[in-house]
Amino acid sequence: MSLIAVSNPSYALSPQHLSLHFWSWMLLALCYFSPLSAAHAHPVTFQDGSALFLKYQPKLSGTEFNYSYTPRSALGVTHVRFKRNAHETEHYLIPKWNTLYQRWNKPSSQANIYLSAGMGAFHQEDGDSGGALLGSLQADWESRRYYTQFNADLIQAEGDNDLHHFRARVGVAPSLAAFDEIQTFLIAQVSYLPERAEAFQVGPVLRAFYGRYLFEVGMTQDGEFIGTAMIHF
Amino acid sequence: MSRILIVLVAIFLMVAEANAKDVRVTVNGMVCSLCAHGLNKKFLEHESVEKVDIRFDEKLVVLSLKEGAKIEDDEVQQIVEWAGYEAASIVREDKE
Repeated sequence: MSLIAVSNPSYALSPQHLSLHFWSWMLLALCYFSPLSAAHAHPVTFQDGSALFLKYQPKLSGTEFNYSYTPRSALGVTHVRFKRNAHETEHYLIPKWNTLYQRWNKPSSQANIYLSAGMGAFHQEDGDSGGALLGSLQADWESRRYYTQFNADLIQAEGDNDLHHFRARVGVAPSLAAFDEIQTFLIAQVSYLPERAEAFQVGPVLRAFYGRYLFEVGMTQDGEFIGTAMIHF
Repeated sequence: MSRILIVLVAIFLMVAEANAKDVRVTVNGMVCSLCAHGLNKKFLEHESVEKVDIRFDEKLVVLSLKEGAKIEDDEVQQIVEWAGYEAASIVREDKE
């Protein structure tokens, strides 16, 4: 035994048609539901890896797709749909650059700081439109048992169409699962979005991931549904 | 003659070292299946790797190599870094 220490590191339901149908539905879901930036997504995955993230809340939903061209940098595009009030709904479409600014890999935990910047456009459903800038910060720490995360997503748009979203999360895993098993986390989430009438939102979220898939369902104090899905590929 | 024999034995041992062994890679930061997915995918893309076994409890990625195939330490380290992690150690063991 040797030890080398490393200093650092057809319509007949063929698989093809099922796959095509799956991606068609995914695309439809993207268009229809399309949260602020990919709030709880992984902004950077792995070299040549991609991530698709969808989040739905009745008043704030979104989608992000990104491709990591290095282990620390990714290019992506995010779509945010924000129902500002009963009469105003805005869509932001922003190409963005994500970077893993810092990662701490420890034997039993991992911590990250991600930064994102983007430039795109917004469109109001009543016809107003213009340019938009995005800046995001994500900081997280997780072990197999515990999970914390903070996000700040800021969109500066022409006119009175800015969007500022801050979120903090803490979570605990009731049990520890193996790689080929479903891992769950119970998460408490608080969110602040000053552009909403009900700016503060608090609620529980249940997270489950299996292999490269992640799903979340939750609810705010007002009974507003939160749904999230993410896939790495 | 004895020198030639020693050289041949050394070469044999080196080849045997790289082949017919499981490679046990201790990875720092590997705490969830989404984290490990990149490692799993990247190692499986290597032509020498037949199977990848992720063991969270031991912080280990165990690589089963194809018959007669080999993977160098620097390749293992590079793949772990591509996945965004750090290899704390690389250990080679005879297959059970």
